[in-house]
Amino acid sequence: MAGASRSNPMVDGKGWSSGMAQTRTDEQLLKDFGAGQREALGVLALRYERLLLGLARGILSGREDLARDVVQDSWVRVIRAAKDFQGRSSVRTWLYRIVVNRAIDARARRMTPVVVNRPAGANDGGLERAEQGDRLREELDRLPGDTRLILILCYHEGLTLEQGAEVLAIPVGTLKSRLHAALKVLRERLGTEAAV
Amino acid sequence: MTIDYADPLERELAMLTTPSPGAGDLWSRALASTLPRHTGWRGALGKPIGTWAASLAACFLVVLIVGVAVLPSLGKARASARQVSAPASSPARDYADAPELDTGGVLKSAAAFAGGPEYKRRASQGAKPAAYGAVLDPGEPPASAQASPIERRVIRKANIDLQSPDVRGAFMKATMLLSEARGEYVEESTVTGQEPNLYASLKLRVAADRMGAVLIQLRELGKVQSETTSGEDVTDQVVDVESRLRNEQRVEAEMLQLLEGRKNADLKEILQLRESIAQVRESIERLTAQRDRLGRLVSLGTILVTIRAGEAPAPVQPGAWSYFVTRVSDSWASAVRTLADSALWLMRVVVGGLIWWLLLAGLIVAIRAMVRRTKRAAAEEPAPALKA
Repeated sequence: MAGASRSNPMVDGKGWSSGMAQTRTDEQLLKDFGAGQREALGVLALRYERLLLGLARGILSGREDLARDVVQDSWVRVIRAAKDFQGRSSVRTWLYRIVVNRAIDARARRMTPVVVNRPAGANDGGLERAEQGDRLREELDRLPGDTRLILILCYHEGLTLEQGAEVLAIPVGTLKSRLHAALKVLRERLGTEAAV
Repeated sequence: MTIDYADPLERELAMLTTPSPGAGDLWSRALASTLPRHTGWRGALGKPIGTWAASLAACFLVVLIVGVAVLPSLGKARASARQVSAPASSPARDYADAPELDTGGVLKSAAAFAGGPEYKRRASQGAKPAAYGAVLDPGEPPASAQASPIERRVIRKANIDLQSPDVRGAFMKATMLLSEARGEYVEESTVTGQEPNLYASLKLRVAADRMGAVLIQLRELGKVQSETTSGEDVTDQVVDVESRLRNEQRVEAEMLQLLEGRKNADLKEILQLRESIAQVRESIERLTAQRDRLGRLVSLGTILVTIRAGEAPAPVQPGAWSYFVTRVSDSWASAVRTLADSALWLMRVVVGGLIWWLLLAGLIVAIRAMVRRTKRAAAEEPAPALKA
């Protein structure tokens, strides 16, 4: 079912009853919010906010502060445009596009030379892992913007390849080929080999 | 969707975008920042009061603009329609210097019925009132407005109600007041009833300059119960008829000259010309008759005399309740007329401005559609631009 809630451990039915949260599709929730039910937005946020925040952080090279600004701005856009959403794409795609576009804009406008942050939740990495992550970020930042975006988007846990292709409005095959090319470039720069 | 990647690079890439821990509260902050758009007092149908107020103000402004734009043009159209369909005779108007009546109904001034300067002159000369057309020679060039101001032509009328114990006697005396030499006559007379409750009425045609004197004499025939006078100004009609008559006469003269100069012309042409001359002559005759009729009406006023034996029934003084009922009835009638006038005004604005209303409705629909389209277009989020 398009837009249906995934089995996401983060969805705990806060605000609304958990039953209602699980049965309403994204489109229904958006429509409910447009009709004045604020709680519907909360359910939608429960489904997507942390995922979107993670994606924004990835695009913004680990800048959590910028990522939060981007996601909050994205919610403002969603709130204002909720009534006029026509459903030409799924709500998921729409949300991701909003966040991606804003993150790209924020990166262009607000980011100074890259500050590498440790990835969130990486408490067990140890110094080596942190260094690897920093290096990955450094190389990612050196990649062209499109290549970087494809890599981040395709490995984002909130999206399948098909959903990622929909967000970028390109065919899945094109996305796969570009992803393959991007990985190849990244590996060359990192000097690593693909896992067997 | 958590995928366990075998490739360390892929694992690292996946870790870059792991969901952030902690409660997601960014949506509530965003909602709070847009709160005034979604809350506030709401009127009927759940819309904010501000929206209702703005809508009502806009509607009122539109009605005002359309009313101001439409009504003057309707007024002009009505005025021009009145001019086109103006009756041949002017409506009765109060004579400017109508004689004053004291409480006993006695005429204070007889000068009002002295007639215009022309009639005064002729009266002093003892001249018989000639046909009106003779006063102005149609062959004379039209006088300029500055040289001879237009003389007022007024058809005068008077009503007098008398009470006399001898109705027949008063009746006979009234008829003898007329001067046949002045062309005066009794147009109508009736005597009804039985003694002692006789009732007589006469319609006297009296020379305009003698009306005052005749009324004075009539008052002596009995007790005056009521007396009214009126004057109908037909100056405009007279001037109009005269100018049209002069014009037709000029046309006739020209056509006769033309006929005279084309004796050798085609028979058909001559016959057509003679037919045209005949039509003009017919028009001249008609206008002349109209002029003469107006002249007669102006030269001879009308006095309607009623003579009764007993006192005219005294007007009943209304009691308090009757007064209340009458006033309420009058007020109700006035209110209904005001309501009708308001409804008519509204109808004029709505129907008269129908084209404007339709244009306005079309404009509003177009604007709303445009706004809706713009909002929907704005709501659509484009896909991130990727270089090929």
